Amino acid sequence: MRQRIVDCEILDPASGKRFWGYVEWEDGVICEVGQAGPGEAGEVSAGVELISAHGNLLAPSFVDLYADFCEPGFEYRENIASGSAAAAAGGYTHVLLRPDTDPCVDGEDTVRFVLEAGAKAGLVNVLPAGCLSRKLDGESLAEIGEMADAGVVALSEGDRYLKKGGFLRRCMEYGDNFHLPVILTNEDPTLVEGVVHEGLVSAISGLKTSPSVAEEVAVARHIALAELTRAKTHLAKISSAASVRLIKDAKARGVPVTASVAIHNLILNDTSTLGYDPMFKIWPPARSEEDRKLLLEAVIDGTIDTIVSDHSPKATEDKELEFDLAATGALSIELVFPLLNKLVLAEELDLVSAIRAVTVGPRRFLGIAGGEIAKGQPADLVVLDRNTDWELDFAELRSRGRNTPFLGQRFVGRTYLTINRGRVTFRRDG
Amino acid sequence: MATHINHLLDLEGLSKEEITSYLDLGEHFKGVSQRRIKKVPTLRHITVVLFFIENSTRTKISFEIAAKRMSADTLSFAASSSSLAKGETLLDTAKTLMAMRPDIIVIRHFAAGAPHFLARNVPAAIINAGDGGHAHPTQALLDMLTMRQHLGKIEGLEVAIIGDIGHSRVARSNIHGLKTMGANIRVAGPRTFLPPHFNTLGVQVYDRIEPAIEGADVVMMLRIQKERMGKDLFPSDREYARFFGLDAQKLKLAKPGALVMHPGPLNRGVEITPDIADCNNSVILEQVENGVAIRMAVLYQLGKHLVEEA
Repeated sequence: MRQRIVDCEILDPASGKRFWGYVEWEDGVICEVGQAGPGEAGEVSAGVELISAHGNLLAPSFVDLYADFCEPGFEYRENIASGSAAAAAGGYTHVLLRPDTDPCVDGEDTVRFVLEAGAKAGLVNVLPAGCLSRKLDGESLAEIGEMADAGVVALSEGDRYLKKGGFLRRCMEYGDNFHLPVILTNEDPTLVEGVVHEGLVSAISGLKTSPSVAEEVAVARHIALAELTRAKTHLAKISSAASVRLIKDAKARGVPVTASVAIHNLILNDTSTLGYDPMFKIWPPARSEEDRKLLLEAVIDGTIDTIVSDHSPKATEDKELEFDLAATGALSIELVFPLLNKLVLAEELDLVSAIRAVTVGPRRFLGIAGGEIAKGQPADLVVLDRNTDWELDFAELRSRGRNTPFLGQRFVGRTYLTINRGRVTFRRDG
Repeated sequence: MATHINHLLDLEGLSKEEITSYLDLGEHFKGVSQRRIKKVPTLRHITVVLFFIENSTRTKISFEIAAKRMSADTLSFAASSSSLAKGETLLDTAKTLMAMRPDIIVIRHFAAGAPHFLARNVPAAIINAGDGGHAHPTQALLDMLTMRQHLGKIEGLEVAIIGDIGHSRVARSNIHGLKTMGANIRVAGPRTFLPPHFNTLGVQVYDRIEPAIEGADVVMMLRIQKERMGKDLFPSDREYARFFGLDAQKLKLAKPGALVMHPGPLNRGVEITPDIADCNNSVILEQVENGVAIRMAVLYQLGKHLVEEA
């Protein structure tokens, strides 16, 4: 069956082109892209079903490199079905899941479990990442070859830091053997006491800190190992300005690294922790306003090529605790576009850079087709409503999580429609 | 005492002619081992010390039999029972040994370069029987002898060496020897076994074994050291066997009749399946036989001057 989406402004983030038109697909593959004015469908052959975008923006669907669907092990927070529904509602068609579940994804059986649960939910392509170390012990290699054959697309140790640099080197070499890229988070725990940014605000609040230097030391180590091993390496969730400078230099030298920032680090700065509200306890910590501004610049100039949701759903009981004791993280996968749009409306970020970092950047890292709107590309698309004003309430969300710093806030814009291989996987009612 | 002492420390720097003469001598002495009386009187004035600081059974026995078939006197000196275990330095132990006036010292040591250290410091001919990750020249010579006997020549052969290349003295010595003799070498194994810059040794490096085996005349499997398993170099026996072990399926990629070699001891079911270890292409036991012959040749080459001077 042929379908055509009409009455949309098309944004192709790969080329930066923006025009009014239509996109037609058959069997999940785009077969025609054309120009047509607002409200117009262009010349339509018989038998083509029309879908109206109602004048909204059409872009390639979003791809996430860092999300937690909490299954197996923590289904009271989220599961693969609820996470998939939330992701589709956020405009995503592909989500790479953290492997540090319980049991963790360190062998064929857990990989299969995740893939089957994702297929059963049937809304997004659930992409499993495999652990680097067996049972996350940080010192023995997981059966990476076997996991590669079973379908993992990347390797990661979640938010854990591999203390032994020599072991990490072997992981990167062995993973590269099976053409699996590595996703690393960056915090040297020996430099860390707590979870907020070290600066003027922590001097006032007295909260224990995770200083920027803990990230910078880790980023420097990871760049050096990527340069040595030539393994494709993604530095996930960068939060400090000095890290950005290291990455910029590494990329200029041709080191095979890419980098992401979590959406929250583009929105929040460390003043958000002054109320001791655990909903603002995120990791990496929200840093200074200067860091935040430089992160935005890095997204615009491409040093940071990807924005991740770092979707980390938690239950009420995980968060209703003292700041020091509360769980870290916030649900986010349904809020990425509204938050990006907020930055666009505030003129802190341009629309093309924002969309590019959730479409082109992550696809290039994983080697997934799409990311441009052209004939022959997969019909993985999202329609974004940039105008509707709405208030965040848990009733609005598909996620089971109950942790967001933005509850009750008003947003402008949200996903209207998500199309995965030509199939509508999310449609906003009303 | 000899004014100039010859050693066999490694194959680096040995010419094609020198290697060929070792192989020719090996061929000759193989004949001795196949006679009813497997003994010649050539080295009967010579004392050979087997100085094995690292555990070894096969190489030690091979040298011992070789020396005995040449009528040399042999004396074994093992690490566990030695004064080295009591804290004596290698140099002091060696000097003590020299007081007993041996002519040839065969040394196996866990530290790369230990034979060279000994050669600089004691007036005996030194034969390297394996020094850490550096060299195992007699192994490479016996491997080349085996190849030459089966395939007629070494020049132009495509030789695939598979396994823990980075830690392997067998691989390094074979690379030097085979290159000198004009063979083309491919090495393969997981990247954790392949140090960077190995390609600068003039070999082709592969991180999967299939392309390395394809069209090869010789497939040489290296022993996996199980103590490395499950740590940081490879995850498990079964994953190693699946991706990097030699089985019938993978061997089909090699030339028909390609030789299957292994320096032993084998980990059956890990780097090599039992059916392949025992198949018609396998020359593993012949390698052992050639080992004695090559060691007789090396002892002869280093010992003959000493006999002449006596």
